[in-house]
Amino acid sequence: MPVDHRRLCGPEESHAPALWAAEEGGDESPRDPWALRPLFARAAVLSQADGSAYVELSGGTKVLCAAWGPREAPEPPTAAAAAAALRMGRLQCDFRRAPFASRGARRRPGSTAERDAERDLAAALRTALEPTLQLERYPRTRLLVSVLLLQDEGSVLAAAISAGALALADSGVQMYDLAVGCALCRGPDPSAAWVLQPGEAEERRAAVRLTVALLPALNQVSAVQGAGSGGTPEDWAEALCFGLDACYRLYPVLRQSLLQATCRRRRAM
Amino acid sequence: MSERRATLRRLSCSNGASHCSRLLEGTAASRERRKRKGLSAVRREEAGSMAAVVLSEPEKLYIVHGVQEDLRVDGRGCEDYRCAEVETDVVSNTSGSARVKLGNTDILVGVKAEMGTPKIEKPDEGYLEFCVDCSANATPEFEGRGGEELGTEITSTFYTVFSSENSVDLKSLCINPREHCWVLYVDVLLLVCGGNLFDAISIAVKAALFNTRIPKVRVLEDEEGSKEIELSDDPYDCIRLNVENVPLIVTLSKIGYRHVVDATLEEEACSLASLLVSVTSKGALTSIKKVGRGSLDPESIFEMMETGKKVGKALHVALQKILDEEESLGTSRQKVGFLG
Amino acid sequence: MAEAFKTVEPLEYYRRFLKENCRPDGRELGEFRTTTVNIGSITTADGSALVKFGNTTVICGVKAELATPTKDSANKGYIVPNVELPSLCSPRFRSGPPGEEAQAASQFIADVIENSQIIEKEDLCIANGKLVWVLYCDIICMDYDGNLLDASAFALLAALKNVQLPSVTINEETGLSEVNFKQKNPLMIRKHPVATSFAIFDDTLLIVDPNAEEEDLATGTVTVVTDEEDRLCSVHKPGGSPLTGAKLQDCITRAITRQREVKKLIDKVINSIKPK
Repeated sequence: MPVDHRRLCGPEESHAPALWAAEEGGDESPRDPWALRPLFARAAVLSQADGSAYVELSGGTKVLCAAWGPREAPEPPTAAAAAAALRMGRLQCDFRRAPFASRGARRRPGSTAERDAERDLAAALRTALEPTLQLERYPRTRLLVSVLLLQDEGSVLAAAISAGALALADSGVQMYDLAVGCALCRGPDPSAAWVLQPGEAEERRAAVRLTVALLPALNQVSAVQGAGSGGTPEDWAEALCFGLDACYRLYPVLRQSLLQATCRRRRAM
Repeated sequence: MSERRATLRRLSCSNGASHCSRLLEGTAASRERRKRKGLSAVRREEAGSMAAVVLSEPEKLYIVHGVQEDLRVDGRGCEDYRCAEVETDVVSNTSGSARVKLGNTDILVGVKAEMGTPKIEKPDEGYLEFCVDCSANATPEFEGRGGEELGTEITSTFYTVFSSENSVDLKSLCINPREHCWVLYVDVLLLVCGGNLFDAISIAVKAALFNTRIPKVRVLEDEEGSKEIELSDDPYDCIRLNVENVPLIVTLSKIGYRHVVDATLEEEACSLASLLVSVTSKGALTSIKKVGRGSLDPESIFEMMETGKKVGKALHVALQKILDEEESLGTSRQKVGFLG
Repeated sequence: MAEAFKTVEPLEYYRRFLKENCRPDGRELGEFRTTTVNIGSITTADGSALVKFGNTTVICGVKAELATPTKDSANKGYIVPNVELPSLCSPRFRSGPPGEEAQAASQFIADVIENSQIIEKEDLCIANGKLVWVLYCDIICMDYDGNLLDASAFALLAALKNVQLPSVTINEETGLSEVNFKQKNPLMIRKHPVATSFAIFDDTLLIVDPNAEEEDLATGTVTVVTDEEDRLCSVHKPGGSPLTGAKLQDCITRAITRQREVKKLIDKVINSIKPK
């Protein structure tokens, strides 16, 4: 493994103490599949960003997001990319996971596995947020969204999507609508039902996982990403409906937080 | 000539009817346009990360209106694939390989089995590693670091598709738990990008895995408990993978109010959002993912999943038929290779 | 009008305020921003603290893992601090591996840990030569509005005070270690080093707890670290305008007062979250 000279690395190998602990029985508390984990959202939390938002799901998932409005884009590498830049702006997403965000072993920042995971999350975030933006209005520029995951207790991507949309809206760029994210999963048990906003333990055990994002005002789905043991299209459709319905239920919370941020700002003026 | 036809077969999951005569007008128009494009060959653009062509608004309208009537520019209906050519065992120094041509898209996949140590969390399983090389031959955009973004997108998609527990029997790749297992390195080389990369790659991966032969090894343990691995003397004594549950990807591109399968580059330029679904031979969807910078309405996602299932199942049947036929020819088959 | 003046002549704008012995954000020259600390908010970490100096927000999470010690210090554990400045905290930082400033901050924190003996590394030893604790202290800046070093050192100290390590025993028969999560012990914090930073303005004027704007305009900065016994742990002055001995003495005196306040704040918060 290449040595990371930019960080202080410590010993070459270390293991999480949980590896030697006696197995703890999982808390299999049955839960209401319709129940949503209470979501706390607050916009305009950072001083250095054009827009920002913090989203926390009860149970512990914490996501912080900053957004910057149109900035000068770097010279496109190819003539082709330049032609595209002339027509519309680009959304650039950055996703970081704090090394202490997950249970168990510390994630080594800068390691290949960590970089790949962060890149995949950033790509998924970008697909989910792009449809909310009126990028045609910002030719030759780029918009930036940067997410920091502070604690992972499940449904991370969904929380990041909601936070990202809030931060973009807070930064004042022109949008079609907010994107609301919601995660679902289903246990390996054949009779198991879909559960909304699973926790980290539920996600780890799940046989099928799905994350959806919805633009509620337009009834448009901006992200669908699911994988697991197979299901019929009807199965997936059922999950999708279930998830989209949850997005509708979360929408007012996000709107309210935007409204409050605006009020706070006006009072400060 | 007859041997050639034996190896180079056409894979089409159209519902039997011939579309070639149905839309002569359309094909003529497309030929005409290709000629026009030749004159302004530099008009290529990046759309998302995919290599794509630039179309003018009237050109796009032509395609969109055609799709609306279930008539595509090259004469296909909305749920038809282009002709596909599949040949396995094309690279002799791999454990398994396949080359797939789907329309213009040209993919080469090689599988190499190497011995490694199982992952800590799964001590009794082997694993697969994917690597996608976007060769600068495929499109000028891939020069330098241009293909990297697309490469990682494809790689991560395939990790997701193969993450489903029973896609490949990973337990059969284990030699002895915690110590040795087979690691299958799946290397994908994009030779020509002509639209619908994901489907073509998934066909090639499945064909290459079908073709993969892993030498049989035995673990010998002496009295002191030290283990030794012995390779079988017979080169034909090998393990074959069960590829029955290996899914194929079907990409459904939304164009106007409808969706099409196996979009060409021109059609991809008219589509803002697509749905990738991976389908097993039994018709189960193991993963779904929206790609592209547009959004989809829920109704159309439901329809696309249905189409994906139907088309995917037919694709599996067609591919399996070809693979079995080719297999039955045995070593007597004449290889076509790259110049064929 | 004031806004335009500030944009065109930021230095002159600042000097006008300083002449009246105050700063544009309303503080006096020797006044710190409101300092708050929130301890134990990240439950996935073994200890954590979030520190705010006005807008500047820094979070520190400590994760404890087990490792084998090096041959030449068989009875010492490891403390591995890292400061990260993600692109989220300020537009001046790019995404990717840590830049120069983050690396310098990591090194500063490592030096503070080394010099102040905040924790005896021998305390982290479980079995001599075989098993020791590694404390990974990851400090992430969430909002960068100046005075990163003070906030980072503060967050580190508060997070370490929050660390609870599970008890580890080595089974004599099997030689394997056994971890008991039900029985947890706090870390022994030997010293409480606190960093206090000053910005040097026009080579002579000292202002305390500078924000990002002030740091950019200043001709130099100096950071003084002292502990509860008023001992000097570290003086960090990365270049910039020179400073007379008397001025430096002034800095140290003020740092000592600040150490008292910060220590009081941490103790108050730690006591408030203690299970009764």
